[in-house]
Amino acid sequence: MALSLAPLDTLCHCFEFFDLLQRLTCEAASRRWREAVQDPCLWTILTPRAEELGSLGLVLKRFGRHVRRLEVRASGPHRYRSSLSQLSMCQNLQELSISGLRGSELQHFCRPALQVSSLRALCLDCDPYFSLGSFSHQTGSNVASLPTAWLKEAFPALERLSCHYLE
Amino acid sequence: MAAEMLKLKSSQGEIFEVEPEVACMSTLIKNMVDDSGTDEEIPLPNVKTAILSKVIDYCKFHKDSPPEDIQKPLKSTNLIECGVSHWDDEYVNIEQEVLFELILAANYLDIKSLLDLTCAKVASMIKGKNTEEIRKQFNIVNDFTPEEEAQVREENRWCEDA
Repeated sequence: MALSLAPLDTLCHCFEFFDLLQRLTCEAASRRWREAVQDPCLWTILTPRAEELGSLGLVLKRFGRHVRRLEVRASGPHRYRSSLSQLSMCQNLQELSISGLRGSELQHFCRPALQVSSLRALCLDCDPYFSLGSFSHQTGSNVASLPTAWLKEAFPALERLSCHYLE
Repeated sequence: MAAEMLKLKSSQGEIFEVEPEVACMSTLIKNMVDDSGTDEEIPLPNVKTAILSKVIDYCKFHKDSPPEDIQKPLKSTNLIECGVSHWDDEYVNIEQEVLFELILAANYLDIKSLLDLTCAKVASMIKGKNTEEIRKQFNIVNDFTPEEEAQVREENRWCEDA
């Protein structure tokens, strides 16, 4: 008996213990492993670590349509850069939680083109701290805001919004 | 009075007499017992004697002390650093063949914690390896055509600043 002949769901179960990049590495092993990696159940809930942010963009581009819940946290040198650029691929996303956002990252996040009409809950946690004044946030030189009009456009089904400003 | 022992029958016909609480860690067996009682032998045609014996060892050990959840994703190739106990780590320190048979048995018998443990073990053997090293480790034949292989590579290409 070889692992390559194991039922797909057991292979998937093994892959659940991998970070995002390692899953993609496994995908290139054989047809069967590729099939297992493409199983939607592997991608329904994603809670990547900060070190994985670099591969998140690719993962969302490829598997974003399966994602229902996404929790991401940037920290230290691990920043968002382009990792959230593929959020619009997540057309079934219901819960989104983004932590450790800096001013410029928040600004980038609030871009006009984004629309995820399935999203119901959004949680934003900004870093290191923001002052809140009519949905405008300031971090030193960067000024970023979370315009309510944009929120309505981007997430028309949003029911819950929570923002944490000070830890 | 002690509860009646359950009789589990391996694919090779060997009978194991096991306490019900031990055997019922398997959801499959529990459902069978709930449906048809404990008198009859319980045939397990998908599990060989050696593997069934090993599964029973696991269930006996964990009957009163269910294992902690294992970290996802694994932070280390050392399972103990991922929340696995020393006993469990030693338990899956076995030949690959036996490990794969245990995975199938845990899947068939529906013992979630054992399936987690054995799958985490496989994952720990893969962690940090590249595709070629993974194929080598598990004797996986690369059955992609050159075109398919190029396609997988293309799909997984990503420019960080795209």
